[in-house]
Parts: sequence; C-alpha cells; structure tokens
Amino acid sequence: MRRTLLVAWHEFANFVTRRGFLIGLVLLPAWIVIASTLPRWIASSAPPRAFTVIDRAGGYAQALQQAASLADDEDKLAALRAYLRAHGNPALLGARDPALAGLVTGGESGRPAVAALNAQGGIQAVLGKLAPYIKAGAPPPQLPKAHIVYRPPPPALAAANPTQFLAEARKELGEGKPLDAIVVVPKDFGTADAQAAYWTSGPNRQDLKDFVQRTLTDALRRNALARAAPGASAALLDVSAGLDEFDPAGNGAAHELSFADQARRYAPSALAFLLILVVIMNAAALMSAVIEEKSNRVVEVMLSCVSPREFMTGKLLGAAGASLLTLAIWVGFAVAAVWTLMPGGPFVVASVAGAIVSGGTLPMLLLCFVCGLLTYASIFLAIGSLASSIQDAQAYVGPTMIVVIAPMIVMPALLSDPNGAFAVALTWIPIYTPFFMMFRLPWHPPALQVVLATVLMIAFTAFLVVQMARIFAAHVLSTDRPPKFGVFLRSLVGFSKHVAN
Amino acid sequence: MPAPALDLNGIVKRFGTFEAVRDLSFTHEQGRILGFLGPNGAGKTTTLRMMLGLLAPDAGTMRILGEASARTVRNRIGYLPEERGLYKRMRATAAIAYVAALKGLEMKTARLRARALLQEYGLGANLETRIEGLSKGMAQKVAFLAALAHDPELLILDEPFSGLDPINQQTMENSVRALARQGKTILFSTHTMAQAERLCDRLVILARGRKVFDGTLEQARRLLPRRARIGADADLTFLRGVPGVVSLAAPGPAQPYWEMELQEGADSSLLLAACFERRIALTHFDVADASLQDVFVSLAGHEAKAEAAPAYAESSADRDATLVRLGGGGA
Repeated sequence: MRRTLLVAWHEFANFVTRRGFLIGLVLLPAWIVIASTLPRWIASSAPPRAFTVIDRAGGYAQALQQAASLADDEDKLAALRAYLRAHGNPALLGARDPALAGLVTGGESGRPAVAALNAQGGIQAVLGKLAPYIKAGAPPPQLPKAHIVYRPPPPALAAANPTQFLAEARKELGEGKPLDAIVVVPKDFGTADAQAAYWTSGPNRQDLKDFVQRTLTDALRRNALARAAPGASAALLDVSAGLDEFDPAGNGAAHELSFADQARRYAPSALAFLLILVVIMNAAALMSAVIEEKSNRVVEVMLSCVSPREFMTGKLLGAAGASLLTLAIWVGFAVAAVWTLMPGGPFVVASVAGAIVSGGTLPMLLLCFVCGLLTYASIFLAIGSLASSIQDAQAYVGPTMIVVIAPMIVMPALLSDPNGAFAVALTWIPIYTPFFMMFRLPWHPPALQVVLATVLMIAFTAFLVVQMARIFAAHVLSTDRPPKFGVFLRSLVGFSKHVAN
Repeated sequence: MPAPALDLNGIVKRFGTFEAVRDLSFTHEQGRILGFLGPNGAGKTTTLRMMLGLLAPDAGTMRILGEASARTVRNRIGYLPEERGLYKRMRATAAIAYVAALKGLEMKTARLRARALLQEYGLGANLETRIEGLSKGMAQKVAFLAALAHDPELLILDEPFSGLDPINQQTMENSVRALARQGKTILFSTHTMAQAERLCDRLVILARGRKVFDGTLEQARRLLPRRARIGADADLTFLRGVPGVVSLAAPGPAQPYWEMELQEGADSSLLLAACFERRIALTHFDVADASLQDVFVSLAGHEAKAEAAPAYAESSADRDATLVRLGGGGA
C-alpha cells in the first residue's frame, strides 16, 4: 500500500505541475468568463443605436421615444441595484427607507419598476438618496449609457416627399452617419395592408430592429384595446399569468419549486458534463505519460520496484486526485465568479450548495464521478500500455473519445424525458452508467433502478479496472505493434485472451 | 559456501513462435562481477527482465538471492536499464529518492542519501537540476545512483556504459569495482568487450538466446589459439612450415602484419629463428592470447552460422568453462 501511495503521490505531483494541466485548468474558466462577458462588453462598448421616426399616423414616434427611455431607465436601475449590492448597506436602507429599498433591492422590472423610479424623482435623485447607505471608499457608480436613442427627424428628411426621401435617407443612414435606422409609420398603419418601413444601412443592428418591432406591436395592441374598450387601462396589456411550479416528489411536504430546487435538478447534470470534460482533459495526458514511460524504459525501473497492479493503481489514484483537484478548482472558481459577479451571488451560491448537500445525493454523485473517472482513466491507461508511440495510440484514441463523449450528444434529448425508456436503456450500458446516473438522480428515478445501477456501476468499474490492470501488466513492457481495435474491445470485456493474457 | 546470488536453470522464454531465450542455465556467486555479453537480439535484456521478475519464463527455474522470484526480494536488488529510466521532468535528488523510497527507504532518509550520493559522485551542483537539463553522462550517473541508493545486495546493470565518454566510463568502472569490493554482487550486460575484460570476474556470452560461453576471462581466451604477428616487407608464407603454426594470413587493409594462429604450447621463438635464417628484416613481432573481442566474434559468429547449419561441433572446452555444444541444446 505504501508503494501504491508513493506512486499515486508522484503521479499526482507530476500531473498537476504539467504545463498542459495548468493551461487546461485555466482554459475552461477563462472560456466561460469570455463567453459570458464578451457579448455584454461588446454591447456596452458599442455606440448607441440612434433612430428616428417619420410618423405619419401619429402617436407611434412618441411610443418609440418612451420605450427607448424606459429601456434606458431599466438598464440604469439594474446597474444601480448591482452597485448597491456590491458597495451598499441594504439592511440599513431597508430599515430607514422601505420604499426606496423596495425599488433598489427588489426584483420588479419593466414599467412598474421605472414608474417607482420616477416616483422617487428619477435616477439622479435616487443616487443622491442612496449616498448615506454606500460604504466609505466605494468607487462612484458607473451607470450605462443609453443603448437605444431616439432622435427627432432632421427637417429635410421629415419634409421630403417620396422621390426625395431616398436621397435624404442616404445622407443620414450608415456607418459614421447620424442614424442607424429610420422608421416610417404610414398614415393608415395598423390596417391590414399597411406596414411600417424600417430603413437601415451598414452594420446589422438586429437589437434595434427587434426593439422597434416590439414597441410598434405593443403600441398597436394598446390602440386596439382603446378602440375595443374605451376607458380600459393600458396596464391590462402588462398582465401576465402566474404559474408556480410544485414537485410532490421533493423532500418533505410539497412546496413551490424554488431556485434551490432548480439548482438541485441541474447541478448533477453540470457535474456529469464536468466528468466528461475532466476525462477529455486528463485522459490523454495519462495515456501519453505511459507511452513516454515505455519509450524511455522508466517503466522497467518502476516495475522492478512495484508490481504492475501497484503501479497502475497508483497511477489511477494520482489521476483521480488530479481530476478531483481540477473539479474543486473549477467549482471554486464558479463559486467565486457567481459570488462576486452575479446579482444576488451569495444567495445563489448558498442555494446551490444547500440544495446539493440537503438533497442527499451528494455521496451518490461523488461515487458516480469517481466510478466514471476510474472507468475512463483505466481504459486510457490500458491504451497507453498497448501503444509504443503516440501514433500507435491514435488508432485507439479517436474511437474511444467518440465513445466517451457520446452521452453529451444525447443529453438535450434526455432533458425532456430523463426517466423515459431511452434514458433507462442508456443507464444499463455499463460504461455510461455513472454518467447517466448523475444526470438522472435529481429526477427521482425508481429506487430499484438506483440500487441496481449502483451495483452495476461499482461491479463494472471494479471489473474494468482489473481487466485493464491485466492488459497493462501484459503489455506495458512490450514494444510490439498494438492489437487491432476490435481485439482490444473484446479484451475489455474479457472475451479475448490475445490482449489480456 | 554461500548460496549463489543468481541461479538460473533451463530458462526458456518465447514470444509467440520466437524463442528469445533457450535453455539458459548459469549461476553467479555473491560479491562477484559477472559480464553478460551478447550481440543485439541475443536475449540479454529478456533474461535480465526475467531475473527482475518483469517477465515470467516459459520453462525453467531461477533463484534470486535465494528466493524463487525477484518480486519477493525487490528491495535487495538495484536495476539500471539501458536507457537511464528516469522521469525527465524530475529533479536529480527527487529522482533518486523516489526509486529509493519505492525500494523501502523512508522518504526523508532517501532524500538525504540521494543528496550525499550526488555530492560524492561530483553532481553537487546539480542536486535540483531536472533530468532533462543534465548531460547524457550526468543523467546516466543519476540513474546509476538511483539503482544503488537503497544499498542493494545485487545490482543488475543493462549496458551501463553505453553513450558515456571515456572519462565517465572510467568513473563508472571505478564505481562498479568499489561496489564489488564492498561485497555487492554485480551483473552487467555490455557490448563493449574491453570493459568486460577490465571488470568481470566471470563472463556469460549469449547468442541468439543460447548460452555459448560461461567462464572466466582466461578460460575464454584459451578457447582460441594464441596469435603471432610479424611485420616485414618480405613474403613470409614459408612460416606455414614452422612447427606449431595452424594458419597464416598475409597483411591486408585491415591489419599490416603477417598473422599466425599457434597451437597450444607452440614455441613462438621458432618463428623468429626461421626469419633470421632467411635474413629477413623484421619491423614488428608480438605474440598474444586471443582477445575477448576475438572470442566473442568467434562464438557469436559461429552461432549465427549454426542457425543456418546446426551441425557445428565444439573443438575444445576448458575444465571449468562451458562451451555450449551448438545444436545439442545442453549446457
């Protein structure tokens, strides 16, 4: 055991100090940060979308102007809320000014939130009122600039007849010119055949086009409501149906599904996804390490010190340790990112952590993760022992990687029916049992399935590790060409003595 | 008399239909240096791997340090493979300490021992240098130290001198001698006959998986006739008629002298007398036993020929030495 642990520690230390490991460790979080912040950064750094309206029907230019202003106020309110979370004292504010606290800490959005903001005197007035509740030394708030800006139509454009319009529009539209879009609302807008015209040139401003279409649709509905029911409040159009979700299979009494419940459902899927990522990241390194050991005959020295089984077990433990460290660092990074960057970050972190721990599935999830890791790692170790060079190994790595990542392809389909026949069938494929069990656990699979799948998973993992150890011991000193992939696959399940002799 | 450190009896190893080691038997006494010689593909490395317990023989028995398997006496054996066998990214001290720890030393003790050995062998400035940053000679020394850091009784060295410059070869030879003086049993394989001649108490020569010689250097040399070499501008073919001359070869591009093989006990002064009688001016004269190189080439070459025509019969065998009867299969 001492020798196994020595090998494990050496492998772990060797693994985590490799440049490739460190790059892989940083790459995923970096990719997530880039993927999540880049669109926002691009949006925030982009110049505002400016548009004007030639409103021949009347009332629509005003609706578009108000909607642009509303969107701007909403963006600023969201920024203000984030600023208060980061630098303010919401508890003190709640005690002294509940109305203002309701505005800047609540989740209300849209017209009601902006109405409340205006009731407080607008964004600058609210900023002034919040000053006593901001911590000393806090940086000044950075409120976003208006993203969509309404400009009154230039007189020449407004006065242009249909033949002059094109020439005037060309003067105003396009890259480096004052406007991104000109909206022309015809006199009979709203009747069956009359449509608004959206003139644009240069880069595609889809967000502006969507905004205009959404706002004009909204305005048309309001007009239709006013015609159908004179005197009815336009707020009727803001009404939406509430739908609370309950799950009788949850813990204790039936209760409304909270954010924590959602976290409990989807965190295991994320863990299953991470399992595949960790395998892809570490398995190739594990395999190439064995090939290197074979090629420079380190393996002979090692096997003169330890048995093949001790050597392979040590390697597996080292790789498992490195993978768990990877997982821990990624999870730690995610926690830190959510905590500091996401609105209500600490609440989200506490909810997810509480949901995973209190759900009672954490031990099972970890068991699945470790079994999956040992299964895949032992396969790649055996491949390394069969190959004399990276080129030899390629014949196995391609097909094996396809087998490993296959669950990710069917994952979206399973999300709609995690306990359906397809999902159950996949669970009984031993190599995928850890992955699909992790995925299905939050969806309350039948207890018998859980028990049988757990037995299958543990038994298959043990069987495979033993089989791989035999292959490893038989081939790790060989410099022969590796056997064909079919022979290798048969040897995995013990049907070929050619490899696992 | 203590039990031999190594005792191999009828060892056979096959890879598919290929017989890599055939009916190999020999013993190696404790505290001695055994040279394990043979051309490429002779089965040396396969035999060493079987001795180390890395491969199982298909037939035969062996005892290592009195045990049936090296696996039970791993910690008493040190092993240096042909290609250093070190992790390139490890530092010198850690590389030695890791092997020593796997061989049973406490890690702290192993590190102290590794540092002391590196200092002793002139690598004090490279204690924390990665293996990939060392010269080939330095890395070979580190691998050698890794093999002996746990103070093994038996050292198995596979081509320990390959790739070393003459100075490092000399250092390594001195180390091997010093270890033998301390009572260590050493077995090393080599292609370099000069080193085997300088170091070994006993030799085992393999060719194509078979043992073709097992004995001392003197016994090996006596397998071939003594040779006389004479330098002269005249034609010396008349020396064929001198008593005791078995064969005579004229000078050629490879060697500038007339070369004669002499029967055992032949009087070499008769050659000089014959030349003086004919008033021939000599530029060179020497008489020497056959070199190990000659014996090796003769034995290994005969074995290669025997593959084609296995009816070769030995001409003579020394009292203690064993010259295997090719085609007969016995030792």
